[in-house]
Amino acid sequence: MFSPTIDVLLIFALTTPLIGWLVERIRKVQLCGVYASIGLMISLWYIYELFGKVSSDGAQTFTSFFSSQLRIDLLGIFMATVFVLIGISASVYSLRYMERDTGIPLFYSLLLLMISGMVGTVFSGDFFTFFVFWEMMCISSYTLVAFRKQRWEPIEAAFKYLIMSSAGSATLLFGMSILYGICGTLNFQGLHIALSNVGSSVWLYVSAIFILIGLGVKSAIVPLHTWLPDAHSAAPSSISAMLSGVVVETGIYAICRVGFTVLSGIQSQWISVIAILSVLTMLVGNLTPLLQTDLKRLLAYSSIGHIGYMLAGIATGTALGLTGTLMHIFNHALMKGTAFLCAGVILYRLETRELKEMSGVGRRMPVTAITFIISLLALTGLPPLNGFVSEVTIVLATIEANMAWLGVAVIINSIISAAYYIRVIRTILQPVTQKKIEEVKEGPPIMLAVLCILSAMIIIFGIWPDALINFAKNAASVLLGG
Amino acid sequence: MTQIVDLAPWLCWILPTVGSVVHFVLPKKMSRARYAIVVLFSFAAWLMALLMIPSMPIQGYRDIGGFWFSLPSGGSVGLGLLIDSLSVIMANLVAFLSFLILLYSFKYMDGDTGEDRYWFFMSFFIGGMLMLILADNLIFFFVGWKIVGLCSYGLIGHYYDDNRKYWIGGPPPFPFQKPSRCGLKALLVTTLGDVALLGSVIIIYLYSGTFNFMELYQNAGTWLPEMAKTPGLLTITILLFLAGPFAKSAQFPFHEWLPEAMAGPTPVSALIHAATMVKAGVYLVARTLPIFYFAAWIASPNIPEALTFFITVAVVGGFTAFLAGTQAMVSLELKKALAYSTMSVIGYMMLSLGVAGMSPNAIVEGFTSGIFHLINHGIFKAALFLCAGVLIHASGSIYITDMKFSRRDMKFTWAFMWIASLSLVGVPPLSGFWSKDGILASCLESGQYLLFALAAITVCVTSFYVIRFMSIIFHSGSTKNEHPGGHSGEAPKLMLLPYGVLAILTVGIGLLGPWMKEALSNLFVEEFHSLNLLTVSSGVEHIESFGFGEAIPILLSIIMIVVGGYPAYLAYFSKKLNVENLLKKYTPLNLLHKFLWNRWYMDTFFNKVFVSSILASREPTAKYLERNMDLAINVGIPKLFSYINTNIRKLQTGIFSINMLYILMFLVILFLLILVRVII
Amino acid sequence: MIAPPHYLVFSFTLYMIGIYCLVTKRNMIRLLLGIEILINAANFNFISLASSIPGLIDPLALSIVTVSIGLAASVSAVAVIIIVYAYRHYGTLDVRMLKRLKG
Repeated sequence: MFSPTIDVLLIFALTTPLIGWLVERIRKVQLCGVYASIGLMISLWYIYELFGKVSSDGAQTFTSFFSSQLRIDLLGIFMATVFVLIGISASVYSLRYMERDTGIPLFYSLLLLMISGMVGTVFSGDFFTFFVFWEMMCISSYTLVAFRKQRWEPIEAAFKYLIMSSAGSATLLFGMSILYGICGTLNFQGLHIALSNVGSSVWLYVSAIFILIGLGVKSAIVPLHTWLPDAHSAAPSSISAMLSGVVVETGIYAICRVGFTVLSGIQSQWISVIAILSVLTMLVGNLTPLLQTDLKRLLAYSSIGHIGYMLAGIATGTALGLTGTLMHIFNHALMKGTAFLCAGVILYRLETRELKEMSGVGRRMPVTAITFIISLLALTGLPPLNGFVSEVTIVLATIEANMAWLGVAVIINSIISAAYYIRVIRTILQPVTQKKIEEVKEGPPIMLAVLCILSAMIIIFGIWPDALINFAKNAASVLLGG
Repeated sequence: MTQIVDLAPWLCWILPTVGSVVHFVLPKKMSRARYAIVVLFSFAAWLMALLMIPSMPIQGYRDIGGFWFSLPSGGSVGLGLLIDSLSVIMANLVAFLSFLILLYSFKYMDGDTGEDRYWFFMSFFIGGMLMLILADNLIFFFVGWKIVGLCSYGLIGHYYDDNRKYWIGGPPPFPFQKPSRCGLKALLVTTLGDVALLGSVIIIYLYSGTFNFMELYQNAGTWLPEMAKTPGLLTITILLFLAGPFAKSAQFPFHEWLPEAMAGPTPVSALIHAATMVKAGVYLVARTLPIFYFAAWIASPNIPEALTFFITVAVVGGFTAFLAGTQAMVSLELKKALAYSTMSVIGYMMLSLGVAGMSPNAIVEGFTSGIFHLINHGIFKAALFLCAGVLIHASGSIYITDMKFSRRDMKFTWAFMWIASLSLVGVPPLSGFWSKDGILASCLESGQYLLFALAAITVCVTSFYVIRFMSIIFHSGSTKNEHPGGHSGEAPKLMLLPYGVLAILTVGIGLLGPWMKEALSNLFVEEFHSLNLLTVSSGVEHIESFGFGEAIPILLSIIMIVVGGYPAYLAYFSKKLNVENLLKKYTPLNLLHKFLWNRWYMDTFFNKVFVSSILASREPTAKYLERNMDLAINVGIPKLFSYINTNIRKLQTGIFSINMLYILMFLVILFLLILVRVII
Repeated sequence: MIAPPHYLVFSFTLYMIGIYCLVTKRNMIRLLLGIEILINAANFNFISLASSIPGLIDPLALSIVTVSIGLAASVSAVAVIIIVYAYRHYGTLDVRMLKRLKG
């Protein structure tokens, strides 16, 4: 039907409630989580297989019903790897994290649906297939944000998220319709060929605006970002990790894909708009969390900042810039995922998100503290860790493209962001004074195992980024060349 | 066998460096045996140095190159060793003296609390010194130079907890100095010289494109005229360059650190301040001498500016010799007197090297005498310091007036110390005589009569102070050692052996004097030949042992010795003159005494100008300069950012309609943009 | 563009009405309807731009619209659920009362 990866994911997504109902009989609800994780691992293996095929044969095409196409090229494989990897971490993590909630089979099912939506988005070769999977991802994410419906906060956050994101999707659809009107087809390849000859007609500009708004809401570009801090703080931590780490990046991927294939006619114009937006995004994303007291809100704002860096990479328009953006997508997913998962462990033990109430918690939870510090330092962009490599690539690309002001902005924002990351590190490492923190124990081993694996990957990709750079470079050249 | 010989130069400096950490990794149970192993390493280094002698090329040099790293401009800095007669001779001297001194300190430092530190620094120092001697390029040389400086700081300040009994200076009412301050002073003054040296090395690199000594010699015809084109550049480079050796070898005006460096343990003073570190400056001058000689006499046209090198070296050397000698005449501390005498003798060496280049006739004689004097001085000064260590230990005091030793109780020490001191004075037939005579002869040959006079007067002064302190220590009339604070009796065998060997060596070299000198000068002549430094006009190719021209300096030096020695003999040995009464009676003499005692007021001058003024500016700087900067950065920036933050956070209202309003505004702005772009 | 301009103007106006509704209305259910209006604007645009030859409509557009309507329905379903819970927590359908999350 669809490609094997998505097939597997969908099958698992649909059968998880069944398994969940079964295991509820035997009162071991976690088994359905295990089932879901297994499903994710199988799909990762399929992606690897597809990678082999794609790198040797070129882009794969699958046709299915609806005469829409899946076109799996290297860029798609790259993004899908990121998604499924973080998905596995979130899923394994949730085995322990979600044990106090009800409706767990539904959770895993939604998680799988969200991941299949994202993977479908990056695998799609046609604008409308893209839209369908995009909506699949969005709708599952709305529900996941609102998962803990007993409290007011997720509901408020989810409502605003839903309305804004659906408005965005509708705008995206509107933009697609104008594109359809110009070209008569929605296939990415077809659009690219047709539109690169047209040059710059007014309608192309108009549709570009609508598409930019539509994708921008999801990828938290600045005036359209206001849903993000609320939604990412209110969601359960594994979902926050997913949202912050991968869902926003799907938006960036979409901007890359649409921008460089469809809108290549008006490339210089939309790139300058993206450049200004990236500076704005970086500033808002890094200046707002400086005095935040809520840990997850702080991390959510920092996601906005990093989206700004990714936009800066896109704004250069060169292969090096795009490589930097793709690398940063991977690295940010790792770093932010780890950070949110660590915050989740602290939340799991302490039931509070306020920084004041967690001062010194790192001394009682050493493993969590170490992985948290590693991910926060990587987010700052400290050299032997992976954040540095991608940020340096982006800065170099901006210098190469004669947009040195953008590179300087990236560096300054990196410095400003160090302020609040280090504030968090300081808070968790202070001497313990409160009684509640005295008694806190380390997190459960499964969660710690996930954290350790992720932070090991952060360090490895920081010291030896070669494999990642090559992968990203090939993916970028697919996008820019083809 | 050839592999070992090839490896010898490398092992020579690597072994002591490795040996410096060996005693840390050995188990604590072995206690003192660990330190014996460090001594063993230095012995191995000496063996390696000996192995280098047979392979010492009779003509020229051997440059064993190696690669270290390449500079951005394309050149590369090598880790290579230069084996020529100069470096082999110095390496042997240093390695031999280091081994003996380490042997001595095995017993001397027994029981000291910081012994681990001591052995580390000593061995590392020896490694650094050998590295410096054997290096083939200026950068590698500089690394060794700095290592030596660093280790001397650590060793001078060995008693850094400033225990009262280690303070030097006084006697009351004069001020005391704490060891930590002394170490710091040494480091600061030598670093000042090092910075200037580095500056001039960079300037030389800019013109010559290389750091390698051999390449500098060989290409001297290209880059020196380049440099000479800018008037004054060569002079400034030379002055900056010479600041390094002057600081390291405690010449005027950088000489103030050496007297205070006596705060360290005596083996440290022996090794660093008599035998090796202060010689490093002389070594550098000798190394680079051919370049400037070439510039002054061989290059066509001659570059007279290069003569500044020789003039500076000679004048500073001569002046320091005189300056230090006069200060030694009134010194009350034993080690301080020896320190002044070291400065004085090094002044002689510098003088010799300086006049070597002042005329084409004198180069071989001056160079040879300078290096010969360096060898001799290393031997007898080390012996003197080691004896001093024994004496200080035995009497429990650093002042010579407190030391009342009897000849009978300390027979060997008495004999060895007299031998070494007489060699210092230059009494024939001991070794010091031949080299000092050579220096005076070279002054005459190059026609520098003023410097010759200065050197001759200094001989007089030297003999005065030597006889003075030896008389006060050993001939103050007591028949047995009576010291309340120390212990009596001869020194232990392990400590006696090293300086005994050195004293005997002094005698030996003295007896072989002329032949040794001839052998040395042949070596250097060969080397200069290979560097094409000797032309037909410099006629002197070998030295005749005796001739009428050579008799003048010999006679003159003997006369000066007597002139200086006789008053000292009267005053201190036979006590026919009472010094105190003399001072009271003649006021000029009293003023002179005060002037000399206060070290020509130079120390006070430096302290006032450099130290007190900087300390006095601490308060206003903190108040006016730092406080404002501090406020601006540490209070201003956080306030700025929290202001920005508070206002940006107001953007994130919780109200949904405002959120959608942002989206609408964005849409409208973009549409306007299109309108402006496309329509207009 | 091939379609008569008034179709385009109409769908654009519909879009603006939808945005206006989202910005100004207070009732949560009206916001939901605003979203529906937006989606319908897009659908309408698809259909009106689907005919290059008068009388013949490109089946691609029709299929897109059909699927889009289905997606809109699922969005509405989820939205209504969230509105119900919001009413339970806040006691009102006024979206301006949902302002506890700020800064």
